[in-house]
Amino acid sequence: MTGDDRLTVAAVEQTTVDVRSYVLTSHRPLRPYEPGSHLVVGLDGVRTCYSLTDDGTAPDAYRISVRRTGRGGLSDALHDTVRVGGQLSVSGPRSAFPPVPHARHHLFVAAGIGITPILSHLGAARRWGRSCSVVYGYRSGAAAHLELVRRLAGADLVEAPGRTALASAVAEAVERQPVGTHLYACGPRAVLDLVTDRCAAAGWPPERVHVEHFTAPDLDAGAPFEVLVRSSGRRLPVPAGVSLLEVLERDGVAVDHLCRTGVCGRCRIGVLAGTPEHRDLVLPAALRDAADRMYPCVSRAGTAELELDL
Amino acid sequence: MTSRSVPQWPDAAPAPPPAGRCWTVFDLAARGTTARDWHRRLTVAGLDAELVTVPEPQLTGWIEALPPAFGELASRRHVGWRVAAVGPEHAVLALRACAVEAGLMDAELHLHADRRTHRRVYCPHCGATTLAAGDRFRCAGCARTLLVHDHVSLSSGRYLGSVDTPDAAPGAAR
Repeated sequence: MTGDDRLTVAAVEQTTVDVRSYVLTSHRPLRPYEPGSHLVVGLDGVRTCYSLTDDGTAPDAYRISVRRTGRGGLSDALHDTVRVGGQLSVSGPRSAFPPVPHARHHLFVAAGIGITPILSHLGAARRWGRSCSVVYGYRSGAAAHLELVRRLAGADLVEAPGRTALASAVAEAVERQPVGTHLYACGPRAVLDLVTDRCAAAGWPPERVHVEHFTAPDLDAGAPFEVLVRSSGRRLPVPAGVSLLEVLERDGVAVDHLCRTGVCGRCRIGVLAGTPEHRDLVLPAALRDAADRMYPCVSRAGTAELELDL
Repeated sequence: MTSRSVPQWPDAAPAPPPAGRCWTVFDLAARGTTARDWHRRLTVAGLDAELVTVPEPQLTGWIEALPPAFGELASRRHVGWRVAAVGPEHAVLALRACAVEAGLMDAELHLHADRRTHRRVYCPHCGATTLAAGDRFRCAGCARTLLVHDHVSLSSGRYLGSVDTPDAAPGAAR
């Protein structure tokens, strides 16, 4: 599938108290995907990314796991309304968190529901005989897919019940990884910050550290700036507290988008002049200074004006 | 025109960044005091740095023994390890090839060639590697006369050679 499609909910499993796993099938063959890929699920006009938990090879179904947040939103709506036999509007799979094929060793770090893409990576590593190890942090009694992770990882799993245990496990793990290791982490912002800080302190180059965010940080309102839309020649002011994406939409400039939080990367646009202030979580460390692109849902301008390739 | 695969080295050796956790600095018969300066700079920055010095007469033998030796060295290190090397290009590229084979990436390497006196050249006819001083040389494996091309395999650290006479039949250029 490349565009939106309707998938049938073939099974729903209560994985933990607040996590449900959904098995989605289609009468058409399902496209294989890279480990760490996600589906974009839509319901009542709201769309959210959910990691696929299988390894992606010859899938007979797409499996996602969804945690009830208690704050409303799509995840809670899925828990409340989706039943076996129902249908979901889905696009993807999309790959934004792939493994590095030439890594000598893969270190996977998961916290909470962040286990979902890591489970996909772990399954692929086991399928293809890639060297790997796992650090899994969870709240006691609330570890999604724990038995499967234990079975797949075996002796290569470090379990860390609680944030303190996770911090210790991460600190210890990043100090003793063999040369050539790549690290992949998914979890709350605080855990990802912990991982990147620990890696930096241990001398890891950022190119070896790959993180997937599932929540975006709160951003300040930013300073006002102006954009020049090349195709129309129109100049649009972007006030503080209003995103560039909103300004473009109000002016009738179509920009494909999804998350509106700088996480998914869908709204990327080209920049012809000026310097963007990147506030997204998509650009890798090596591209944080890139001046030729930006994600207008969150990113703003570091100069008074930007010229946009729109 | 020089191929983009041929490294272009600056005249002056840039200092290694004070990054990583520990360093191994290779002085591959380097000119001047560059390697020692790098080692001192890293040590002053509080990084654990060791200096490995290879004198000129031992360089060829050292390169031949490098693949297993570097692999063994890397197996005793962890992520956070950085490697610096300075010396003639053929030695620096040979070390780079071994480093990449061991799993290091460019961000973990700080390399500088202070001269290009010889080139290690791959013979596609017999697979041998010859240390060549000029543009034409006799292959150490098959004795063909080879021409060195401006193309470097960064994965092996070798230039590409081919039979000097384009219409020569295999074996004719002996």
